[in-house]
Amino acid sequence: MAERVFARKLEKVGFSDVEVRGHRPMSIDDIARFPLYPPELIELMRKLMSPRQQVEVATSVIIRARRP
Amino acid sequence: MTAISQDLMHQEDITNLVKDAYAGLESGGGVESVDWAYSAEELAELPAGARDWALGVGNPVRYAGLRPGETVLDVGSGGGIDSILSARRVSPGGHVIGLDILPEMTARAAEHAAQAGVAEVCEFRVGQMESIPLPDASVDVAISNGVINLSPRKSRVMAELFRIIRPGGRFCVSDLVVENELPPEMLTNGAAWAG
Repeated sequence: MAERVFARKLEKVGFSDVEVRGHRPMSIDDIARFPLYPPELIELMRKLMSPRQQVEVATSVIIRARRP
Repeated sequence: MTAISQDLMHQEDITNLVKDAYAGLESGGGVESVDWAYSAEELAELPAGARDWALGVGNPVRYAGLRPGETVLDVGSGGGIDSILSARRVSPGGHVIGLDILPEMTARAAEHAAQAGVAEVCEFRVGQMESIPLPDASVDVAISNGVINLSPRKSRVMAELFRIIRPGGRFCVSDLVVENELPPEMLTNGAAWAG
């Protein structure tokens, strides 16, 4: 899910003051540290994604909002 | 989640894939997977077992602005790291509810909370984030760490969180967002969904 979609969904259900911060790119090497990703998936990602994409497969963010 | 991927995998299938993937784990990512997110002081507050079961993608507690006396819901509490850190910050007088889909995870988190000395502040419940077993407007703050992205019904999860947070209460979540298109082979890979 993209950041703007996440924020829009929060606003749609009623949250206000939505704020996204703390962006940290997650590379394939970062993701490989998690046991949820088996080695075959990591290898598939390395095979299918360009070197540029592999540097930032996803982004870790902090999302804050308030219930009015 | 894209429309294509929704078409390719049914919501229940995705939920079961995620559940099975987590149930099959023998440990978490360990402290090396999250040492960028938590300070040495924060990690020192945690028992070794909780650190070993780290599966989060950030540190929502640091940004939640927790205060003594507040009630916190930790959605997808896993091994209990964020519940334990929250318990220390809402004490005295506060309360932390950890919610996880897996009974073995809630048992593990309860054990870690006891080891951390915050068992009286924490309770752990089995349940789904799409149907949170709490009354309306019953918590001050909802936190979560790398969990909402696992749901095939993200809007439903957000609506549930809005329901259970009190007016004026806060939502503070660490999660993964994806801005680039992923290859179709990954969108239909169960392990990719589970992560």
